[in-house]
Amino acid sequence: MMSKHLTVSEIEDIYDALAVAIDDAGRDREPVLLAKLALVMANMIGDRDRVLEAISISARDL
Amino acid sequence: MHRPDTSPRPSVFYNYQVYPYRHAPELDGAGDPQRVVIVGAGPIGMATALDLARFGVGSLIIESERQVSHGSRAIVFTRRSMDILQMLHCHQAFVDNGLAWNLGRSYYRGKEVYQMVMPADDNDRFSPGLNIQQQYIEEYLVDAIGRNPLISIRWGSLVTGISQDADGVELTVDTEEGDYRLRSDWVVAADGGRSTVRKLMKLQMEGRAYTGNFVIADIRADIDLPVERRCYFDPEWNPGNNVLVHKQPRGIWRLDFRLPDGETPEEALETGLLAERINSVLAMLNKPVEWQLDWATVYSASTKTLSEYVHKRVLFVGDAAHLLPIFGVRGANTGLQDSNNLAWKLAFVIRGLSSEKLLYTYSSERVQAAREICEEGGKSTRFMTPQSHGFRVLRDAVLSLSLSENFASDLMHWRTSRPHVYATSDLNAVDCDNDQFRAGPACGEVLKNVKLGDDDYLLDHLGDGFNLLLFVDEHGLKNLQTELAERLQSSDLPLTVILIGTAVDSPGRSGRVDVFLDDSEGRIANLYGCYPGGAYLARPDQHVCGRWSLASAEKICRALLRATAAEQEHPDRDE
Repeated sequence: MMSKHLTVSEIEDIYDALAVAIDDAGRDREPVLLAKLALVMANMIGDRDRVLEAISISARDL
Repeated sequence: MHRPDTSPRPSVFYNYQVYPYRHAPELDGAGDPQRVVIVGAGPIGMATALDLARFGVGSLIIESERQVSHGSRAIVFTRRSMDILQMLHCHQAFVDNGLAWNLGRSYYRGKEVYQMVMPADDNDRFSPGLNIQQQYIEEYLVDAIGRNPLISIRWGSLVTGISQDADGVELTVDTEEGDYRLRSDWVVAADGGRSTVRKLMKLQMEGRAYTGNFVIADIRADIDLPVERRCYFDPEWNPGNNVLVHKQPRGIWRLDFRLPDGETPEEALETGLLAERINSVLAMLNKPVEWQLDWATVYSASTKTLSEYVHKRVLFVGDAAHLLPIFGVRGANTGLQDSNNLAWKLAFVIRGLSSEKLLYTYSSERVQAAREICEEGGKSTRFMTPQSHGFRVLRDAVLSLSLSENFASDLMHWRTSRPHVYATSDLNAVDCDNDQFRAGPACGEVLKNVKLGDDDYLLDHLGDGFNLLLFVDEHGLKNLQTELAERLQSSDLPLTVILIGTAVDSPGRSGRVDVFLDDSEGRIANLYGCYPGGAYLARPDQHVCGRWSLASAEKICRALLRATAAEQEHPDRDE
């Protein structure tokens, strides 16, 4: 289980913004948008192992 | 009865010469067994023959066709390949006729999103890339072979059978007059991606094949663009796919493009559709000019290799040994490194200078190189021809990002072929003091070229065998040189001793010295990170197999024994 680094209000803002971005992208481009988001965040984090861990956390329970 | 096509291949620019078929003495039950038979007169087979001849070993090449290859195929030579062709004394025709380049541009949605610059260095004789069609590559090598009395080619001769025992190999060769048996001590299989020898010996390759077909088309067209490699991702006319454009000599342009999934090669080569797509490429280049088609084919990418290249007395080189993706110009450039690695080892074994153990290092060094290329080339291939939805999404994400950010743009670049580093080779000296050097090639790397003057470079001065670069002051290394001369007195090992330093007085030139290079300005010493008393030992393929900040005749001789796999035969170093 990951520890928490965002307040409820912060994660709510991200939740809304991401949902809107997915809707704006449209069904066709949605996967590319999410892949870009992951790459951009990976570059911001700058830590290969943490990003690989994030991928494996996200792939759980789909 | 093997009867290859004897009408010159059609071409809008190249005059195919049909070489004569000659009656073989073996057809009459005559003829002596051969030392080395090379199957295949492609670039790598011919380079192997020329490389063996450097060491006085002759060979016979068996070629099923009677003319050179159809189409531009290999097209790009790297600097390393040019260095190897220089070793074979046939580089000049390539320099005179090829197109030198070092810049690749990649485009997406009309914007240049990536530049690939292959570093050009004043110290190098050759440019990083040189475009020349395979027809010319083969023609120049056939010409070089024609000048070499140690090599002959039997055109129109197809290998249909192979068997071997402890002493040699027996080939069955089919010709227009019927077939004959040909015995040889050694056979080099250089018969390309669809290798007959590999099939006859039922050898399987490891690795994978990639889906996704690409068309290659050579066209003659007057297009006013510089000599650069251009890559277009996802152009409007070919959504989701990519296009490569290369300029070739004689007004020929090479277009490569990926086909939509599910389209067959036959459909893609249908004249009307092909013409429509070529017009689309030219429109995309903003050069809607008239053109004529010279040749077109379809290929797909593989990353496959045999797991051994030495099968008793049959040795595999080039595409016969491995199938590598074209991204990063991996085909002929890898093959030339194979033949350059194999030739001296085979020649040393034949001349009794080394045990057969040396040949197994050919296999281990080059299989390892091929596996690394498969790994690296596989990454490029997965970008150029994504194999699944996930890989396609990530490719599209990187392309989309490239329009505003560059942190992921290197993924658009396929790493270019370069000399392999034999860092873990058994042939490297055990006492290399790599740590003591602040510059210069480490053990396993190729020697670095150094410009010495106009049209004068370090590598020009190397001999055909081993090369010892001895860094000296004005007095030379008298003791070392004298001791080296004594120790090597009765040795047939080809070795060139190159003294590098300031003007050496005459006692300094005593002992074993073949070449003196004046390095008063310290150019070589700086690039090699070497002070007087230090030395580099390079194998005949120019890979460093020993370097010492403080050399001795004993260290050098021990390294020579090790690099020729001769240690066991000469255990007594003071003999």
